[in-house]
Amino acid sequence: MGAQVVKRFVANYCQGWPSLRPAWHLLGRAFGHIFEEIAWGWVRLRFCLVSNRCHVLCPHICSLSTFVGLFLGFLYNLLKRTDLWTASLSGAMVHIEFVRGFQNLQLNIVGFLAILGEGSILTNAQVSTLSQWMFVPRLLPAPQALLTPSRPSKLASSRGHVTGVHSGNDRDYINHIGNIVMHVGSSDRVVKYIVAAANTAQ
Amino acid sequence: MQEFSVRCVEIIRASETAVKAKVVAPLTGAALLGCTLSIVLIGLSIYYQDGMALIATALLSLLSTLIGLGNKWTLQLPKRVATNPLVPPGDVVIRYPKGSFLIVKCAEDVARELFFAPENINYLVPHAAVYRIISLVSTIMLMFGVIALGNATNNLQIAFAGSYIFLNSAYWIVAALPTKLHWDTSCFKVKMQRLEGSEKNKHFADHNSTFTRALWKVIAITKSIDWINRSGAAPETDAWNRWLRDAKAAAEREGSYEDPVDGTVVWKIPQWHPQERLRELLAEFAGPEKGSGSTDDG
Repeated sequence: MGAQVVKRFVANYCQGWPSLRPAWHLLGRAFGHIFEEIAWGWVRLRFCLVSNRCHVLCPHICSLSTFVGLFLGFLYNLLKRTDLWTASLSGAMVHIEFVRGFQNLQLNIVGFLAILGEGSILTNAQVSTLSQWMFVPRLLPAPQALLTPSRPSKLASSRGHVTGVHSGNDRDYINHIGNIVMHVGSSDRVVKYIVAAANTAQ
Repeated sequence: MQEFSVRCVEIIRASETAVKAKVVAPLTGAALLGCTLSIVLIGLSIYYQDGMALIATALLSLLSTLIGLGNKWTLQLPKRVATNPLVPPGDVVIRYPKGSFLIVKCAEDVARELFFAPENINYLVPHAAVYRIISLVSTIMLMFGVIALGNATNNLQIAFAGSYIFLNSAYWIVAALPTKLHWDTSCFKVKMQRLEGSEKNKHFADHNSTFTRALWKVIAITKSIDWINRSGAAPETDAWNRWLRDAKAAAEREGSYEDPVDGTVVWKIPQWHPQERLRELLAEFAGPEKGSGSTDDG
């Protein structure tokens, strides 16, 4: 029984290979292997970094490389081996349909893509609606993020304790605009200071 | 800001214009990218003779204009109508959660605009009811846009998918940038001031090992201790009150001068040992009433 399944599996797997397969498919498979190599290379690099304790310095690179590796492997399997899965699984007397090739990929749910990405819109929602560019007709991801039941009545404040030295005013938060004005100043100053230092050096 | 660091800046009102969104900013780039993509999609749907894709592009693009209309606002910072030349300077001390300080030298008007009076958001469409009707229309446009998108041909659907993925990555990249890049605050001019011995990089921050030393530097610049009670920056014990009075007396011994190199105001810090003085005072006040004195040495 087991041997039979294996035989049918092999028969299906090797059926007509490679003569019956179109040339582009072979090419695709070759690229797929290259991608898989890259993917494993990435995973190995990640372990190498961990073992060298480099991960203390670059944890982001490590986790990113793992994700990129897994993602590439996933893509490889999805795009290049789907027909192979179908064949092998039907060979084991269970017929499961996977997507057969790129042309048959169902895209009717592309509308979903139009409403994804709320987070990126909400981060700068207030300053973007302050700008005149808001009126330009354009594609906007996740427009429903800006269709809220009520609009904000103030700008987000940040943590800190603000006290007037002589005026007696006191607030336990920092106004948004105040915070931004102070941050803008510091980056302006860098250039000026460097210029001044260069002038004295001459 | 790093723990227990002290910085000092001066903020002046440079012009009477309002705080706005920057015209040339990353967000503008994202908006123009979206605009370009809708023009490309309209061109493609005409080329492939795809009516549904054309409707989808038109609905989804006009939707953003409608949303813009509903959400457009202008910022109004509070103005002092009755100005009085006898108002004391509006200097402000900001104490951050990590025990670092920022001293802002400014006029009272600026302090109120930036820190104390609440800012006003003026919407282009002030009525909530009108806004909700705009939202309703926008929502219906979004729904029909998505339906039309689902009925477009495969080529255009792939183009739409590509555009949205591209646009989404652009918006996430913009969201990762610091907020200050999006604001035009050129109506306020910020001049950095320096403490003697502060680091000479972009922030001119003065680093201290303890909160007590940082507080002493702040007193040395403001030459005032009244604000400390209101801010809750120091414990309210006899030893600390005495320390504050001593610090103020010491602070008044020195002033500030202008650095001839770059015109920065530099604050002189008088010779005084804040940590040692506090230790002496704590010992002195703990002596008569055993155990009841503060042992806070931070």
